[in-house]
Amino acid sequence: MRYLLRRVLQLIPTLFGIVTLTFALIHAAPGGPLVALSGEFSTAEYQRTIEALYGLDRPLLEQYLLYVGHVLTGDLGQSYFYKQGVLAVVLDRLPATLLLVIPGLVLSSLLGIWLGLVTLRRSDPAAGLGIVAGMSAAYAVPMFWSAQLLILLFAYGLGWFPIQGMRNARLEGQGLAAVLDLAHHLVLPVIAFSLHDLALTTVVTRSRVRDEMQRPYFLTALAKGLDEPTARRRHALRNALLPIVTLIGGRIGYLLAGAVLVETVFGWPGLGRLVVSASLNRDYPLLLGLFLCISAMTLIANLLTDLLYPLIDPRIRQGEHAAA
Amino acid sequence: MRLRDAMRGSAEAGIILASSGEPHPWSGAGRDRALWLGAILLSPAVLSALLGPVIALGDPFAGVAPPFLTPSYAHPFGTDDLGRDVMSAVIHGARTSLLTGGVVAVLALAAGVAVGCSAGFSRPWIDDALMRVTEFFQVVPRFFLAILVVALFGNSLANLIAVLALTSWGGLARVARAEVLSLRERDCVVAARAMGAHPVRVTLRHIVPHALASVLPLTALVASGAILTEAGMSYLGLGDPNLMSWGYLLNNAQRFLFRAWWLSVFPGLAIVVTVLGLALVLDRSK
Repeated sequence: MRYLLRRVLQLIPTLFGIVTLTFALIHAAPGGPLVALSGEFSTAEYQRTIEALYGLDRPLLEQYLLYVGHVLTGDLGQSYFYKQGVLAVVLDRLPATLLLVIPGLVLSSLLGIWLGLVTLRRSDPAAGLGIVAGMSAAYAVPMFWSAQLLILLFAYGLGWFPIQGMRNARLEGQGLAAVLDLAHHLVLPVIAFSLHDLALTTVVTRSRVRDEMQRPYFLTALAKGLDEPTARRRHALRNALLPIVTLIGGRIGYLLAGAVLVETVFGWPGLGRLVVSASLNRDYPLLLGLFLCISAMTLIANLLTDLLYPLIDPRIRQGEHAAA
Repeated sequence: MRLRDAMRGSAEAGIILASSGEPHPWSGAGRDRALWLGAILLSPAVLSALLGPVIALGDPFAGVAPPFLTPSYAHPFGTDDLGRDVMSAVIHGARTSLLTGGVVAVLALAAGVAVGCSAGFSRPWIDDALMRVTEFFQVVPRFFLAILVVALFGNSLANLIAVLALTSWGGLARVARAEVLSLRERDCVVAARAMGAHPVRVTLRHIVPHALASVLPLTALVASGAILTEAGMSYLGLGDPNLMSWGYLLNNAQRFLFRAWWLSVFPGLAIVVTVLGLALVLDRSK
């Protein structure tokens, strides 16, 4: 409990830093805070409302406090393009993006850890090195390009998967048919999205587990007659898991950026298209809100990763007892 | 949680990738062959960036042939919807990519080493404050910050480079600081101090060279990350409209994906080859 509290408290300065950064950007923007907060093509009437709402005629410090107040109460302004609150627009699109990000993350993490272990098998070192080489190359492939190639090959060429979108519009059905249809649309985007992360997880798992396999406890396990694959899984991997999980959790911002690109290629109706249309429409309030939301999500992801630590590593649980 | 601090962010993955210390998978002989392979992969982009205007005559935005020509001897990468030569565009795009990667890497390296070394040498509370700031810039979602800045301040390459540099130095600072902490009790440093050398001189002569060596492989990752991000931004149509870029080419390819596969394949290959080459070269150059 104390551990949890400490972690949450540590988020606060970062959160304030991000709000301060956006505030600074709003004021440094060429059109001034008024344009940044209301959008480039807003009406004069709306601009007056914004001026009053954010106290733009008051001293800077007061403006800052007002702005922080608005953000903390979840009031991220109005998107003039969607004629809706920014938070509502973002929350409306978020599920589609999470539908892509979460399966992708689970897939790349589990498969990456498994592949990382496979590369360490003594029985087949060539396959191991082959996987590492392939994964290092995959790390250099931009997600949106692999997405284009996947579409060319499997959707257009072979016709196995739909080319674009999230649902088949002609399919009226509910229930199982709709779920299967969604899954069918999801296959290629998830592959394109998770390839990059799969590469990273594989390589990191390999290097971390190999380090653990040099430790005396690993030799002890072998000496007591445990076969190597089991020892690797049960002993080395368990000890290597902490840095691996840290790495995955710390990448959520990059993952969301990747999701934006992959969504654009596949016409997936998530945050990606929202970001693109918002910047083409010069919908500044929406972009500011998106940045704040995604920063908050990054922080939450870091927090969740931290909360996993005591589950993975009993020493952290013990440490908490000792401290309390 | 030292471990967590040491591992945060994707830039740190580079430390692991770079310092795994195993013989490189491509090469039986180890690092030399990987270094050569990297240099070979990187050379087309470097040559294009340096000699671009000489090799690929003319404006890459100008149409020179009928649209949608398949790759042929006259146009090895084919032509696009406006009859522009794709190979010429790819050659011109190299300059944008390498400029982004290079400038971001140099700026991040300078800032990272400066902050990391000062943090390592300062009193604990300054060290702590500097590391908090470092951590902050590592946590900020850089891609979305880049989109925001480009929308507010205009989509010039300079703006993009500024954002990327601002969000890239954190990992380098951490490594540099760790290096300083391990170096500052070394004999050469203690001796230099004992002889009365000024701390700044000690830092510059004895610490920075060592710190640089351990930071350089990570700088390759910063550069390739910047190249990939620039490509991503241009792919979304948020790149610098006055510069030819691989991402812009892939954005254009998207609309004609089923009509002209070559519009997508060649610029994409250019990115992969360059990023991979960069990783191999600097990874092995320690």
